Amino acid sequence: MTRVALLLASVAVATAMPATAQNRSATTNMPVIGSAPQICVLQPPRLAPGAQTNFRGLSGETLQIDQMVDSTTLATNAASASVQFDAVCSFPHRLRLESQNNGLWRTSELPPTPSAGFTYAVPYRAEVSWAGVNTALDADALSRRVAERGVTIDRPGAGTLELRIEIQQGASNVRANAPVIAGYYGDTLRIVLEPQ
Amino acid sequence: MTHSLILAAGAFVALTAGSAAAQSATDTKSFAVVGNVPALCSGGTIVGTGSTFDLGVLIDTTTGLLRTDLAAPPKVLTGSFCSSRSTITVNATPMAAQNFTAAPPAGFSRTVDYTATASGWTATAATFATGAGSNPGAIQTRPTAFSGDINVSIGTFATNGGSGLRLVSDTSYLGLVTVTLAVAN
Amino acid sequence: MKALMIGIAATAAAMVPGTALAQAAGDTSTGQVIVNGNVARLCILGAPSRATVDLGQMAATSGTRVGRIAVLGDQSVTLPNSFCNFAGSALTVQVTALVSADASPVQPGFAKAVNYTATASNWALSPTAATSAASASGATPTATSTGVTQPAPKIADVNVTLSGFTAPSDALLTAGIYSGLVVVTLGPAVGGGS
Repeated sequence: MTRVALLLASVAVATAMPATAQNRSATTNMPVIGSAPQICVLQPPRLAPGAQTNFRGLSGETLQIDQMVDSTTLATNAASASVQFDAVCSFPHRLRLESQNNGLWRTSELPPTPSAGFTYAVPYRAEVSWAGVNTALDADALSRRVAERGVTIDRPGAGTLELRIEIQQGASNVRANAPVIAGYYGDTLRIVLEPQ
Repeated sequence: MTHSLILAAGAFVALTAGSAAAQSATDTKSFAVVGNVPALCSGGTIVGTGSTFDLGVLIDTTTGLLRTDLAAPPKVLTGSFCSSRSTITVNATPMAAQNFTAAPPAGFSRTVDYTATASGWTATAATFATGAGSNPGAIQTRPTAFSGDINVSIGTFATNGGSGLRLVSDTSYLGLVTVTLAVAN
Repeated sequence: MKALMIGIAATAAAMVPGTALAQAAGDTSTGQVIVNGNVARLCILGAPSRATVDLGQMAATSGTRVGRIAVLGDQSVTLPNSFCNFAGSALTVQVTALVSADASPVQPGFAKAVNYTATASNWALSPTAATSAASASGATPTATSTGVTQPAPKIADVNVTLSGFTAPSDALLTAGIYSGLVVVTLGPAVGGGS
């Protein structure tokens, strides 16, 4: 029996077609997405370390003046205090300082009948330092109204917002060192971080 | 007398066919049949969930810091195969704010790092950490042909620059995970 | 010399009974030579028109069947001027599946063999076909079939057609060079053929 087997594997290698480059790898893309919404957060205030003058301290959100007037002249005593707020705004925003009364006014509902020569509202200055920007609101107490000051901050901010309240010696809405009419005096100062 | 030489009388001339070795009752012929299959990889498809990992809101809105509970369900590449020895490579780019592209101010970051993992193809899963200086484990080799599912997951999220930094506000933070199967030699 | 020859002739004549003695003293004498010849039974297959059938790339490289066997057309090989000089011959076809040379074990879902059918025709009344049935791992790659008997001596071109290329379980095909073999045998039918 004669058998002729013709196995030409070398010929097969020479004629094998190479795979196209695009089949030799396969890539799948999977995006990862999320969002960070615009937020501003102001934490509750705390008394700043360091000296405060003629203030009893911060109770909750209330700064209580110790001796508002000199006991002999009834002129306004100087007072100053600094308060800190931990704050963050994750976007370019606006800082607004708003005084409810534009000065320390008597809290009784009836407006006082101004008695000549007496102080019936006490002006003060509020200075704010935040995100490298400083601004101040002078509550001049000349009229009882909402007084406001705003400043634009063109970048996100995170850290400590510093508020300093300063009452000058003899401060008065009538005449420096004029005696102050008796009563409870107060103002509400709001700090607002908001979109521009 | 005629002498006839009967030379043939005692001998028979037998006329037979030639040598038996060259021819027989059966003959056989054969031919080879050859072909080839190229080395190729196919990435498979993601069924049902789409290809995007959507983490939603990235921050704790009361603090502005990265949420500590960020998670997205893993994805499965179904029907992946390579007809020969192969490598699997996972790559990831950190999530970056797409609109806020300037350098972030002090106290802020615009980038979130994470780790992407592709498992099921090789004995050791391929991983890529976007915050790492190098990722040698991002390429793994499968020594044989294989067909199977690849599980892709992301995790270990961290604010780039430090966990105390806040994320700048941006509605679009975007990163990309890629998984590549390639024929290996 | 002369004497010797006569002696041989005489001896030869004496040794052959009957014939020479019966023709004594005649002027005619007849001798006889018997000539005999013998032709053996012989089959010859023509050399295949192609020594190797190259199917080229066997797997689909895109689409829904990527990685699986592509549609491969029929292939033909002719063994021209084949003949058998006797009655009662038959064709036998032995087909060996294409199996990959890669020795590593086959993974689940994959095959390293391609089966097909080899059909030898134009000899007997009906063709002889053998289909390989290799497993995914390339085991049992060979199948053999013997055809019906061709009752008369015949000269013809034997045609071999390769068709029906499939992978076991239609599995994915591992990469590599695959090779198989077709062996055609022509010879006496065994027991009258199948």
